[in-house]
Amino acid sequence: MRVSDERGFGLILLITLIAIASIFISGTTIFVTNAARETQLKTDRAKAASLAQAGLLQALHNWRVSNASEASRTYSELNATVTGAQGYQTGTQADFAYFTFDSPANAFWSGSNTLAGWTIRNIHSASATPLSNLTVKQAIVSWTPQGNASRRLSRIRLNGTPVYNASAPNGALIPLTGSAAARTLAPGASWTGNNTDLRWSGALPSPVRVTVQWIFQDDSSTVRSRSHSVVYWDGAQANAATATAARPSRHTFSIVATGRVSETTKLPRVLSTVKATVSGNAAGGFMEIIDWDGVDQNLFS
Amino acid sequence: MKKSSAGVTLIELILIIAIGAVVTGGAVRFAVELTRQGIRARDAAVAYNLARLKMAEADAADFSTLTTGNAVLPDEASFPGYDIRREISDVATAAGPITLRRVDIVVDYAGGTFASPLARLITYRHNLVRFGDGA
Repeated sequence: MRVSDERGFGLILLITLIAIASIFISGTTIFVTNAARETQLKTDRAKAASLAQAGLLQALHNWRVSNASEASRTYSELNATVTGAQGYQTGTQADFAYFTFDSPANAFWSGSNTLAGWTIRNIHSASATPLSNLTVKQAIVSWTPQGNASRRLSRIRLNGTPVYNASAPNGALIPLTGSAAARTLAPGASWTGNNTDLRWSGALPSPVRVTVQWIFQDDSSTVRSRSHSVVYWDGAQANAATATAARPSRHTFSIVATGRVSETTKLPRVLSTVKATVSGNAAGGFMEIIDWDGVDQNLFS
Repeated sequence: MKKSSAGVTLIELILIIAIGAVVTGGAVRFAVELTRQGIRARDAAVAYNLARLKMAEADAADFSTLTTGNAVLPDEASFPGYDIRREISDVATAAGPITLRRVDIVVDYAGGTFASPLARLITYRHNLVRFGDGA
């Protein structure tokens, strides 16, 4: 009986060894594969971030060479392949809102409760659609210091047409009203002049810092549809004729550029998005990137 | 009964050796391939870190120093096993001159041909865009 029990023992031992070896090899395979995938994602992120910068600078180049005069420069959204399955894209409505406070009009205070004369220009070239029009949907208006605790924003007008007429606290998200036409800028058009203003329920303190962020119609649930937070005034209140550093001299706009790296030419694997705030009138004819924020997305892992 | 049992054990032993040799042979080849992939992944990770370092240096460099053409950059002292090359070409020029340039940082093994490099990062630089301090 003892000898008979040994039959098949070697085979069982072999199967057991193979099973143990399989587990070991599988574990090693998974470990090495995951490490390789992680390395690939890291390298793709680095590629995509560099490509996003490329897209941003290409857009700025297009804007800069479109016209010798800053007041007439435009550009349009981009979707380009740099090499193989690597490329970049730019363009949301927020990318084409250009903010000025000393040209063509001077921003100024009227009656200590109204900040008027600021300008938003649509700098999209008219050649491309559907992003060529700019439509604002919401706004966030903030002021520091608060001053009177009951002070509220009571009105926003664009070229004389009210798009908000109610009572909004400091920093609130304000849904704009009125017709879409009144909230829309065609390429090259502006909201500007004495009848483009923000009005409060009473006098604001002086000095005061006022900032506004505009949210556009195209994709209002994401930061991509938002302008940068634009300083409209920072200092003692003054009229239109007064030369004052409180009136922003930077002419600014924001650009969102996304670098993409794909496994094929169709499917993006990694996206890296940068949102840059640009000063278009820096000294010496330079364009200056004054703020930069980046986000990476791994679409497949 | 005893005789028969002993014979079967010998056959089993031979089978074990034969099958074990096949399995071990496959496993060794597989392990070699895994090791090769692991080494390549590690080298690629090092190469991309070197590329990012050199790209950051290119971003910080004055535009006038980014002349077109290929230039072999000095080795990083801690990583003598890699060669680094900077490739610069004009993307667009305009009056002024206003110039947009493409900058490639390419990393390969030391002595490599850069035909199939370990790492390549691509970006653009513009002579009239500078990165300010936000002030």
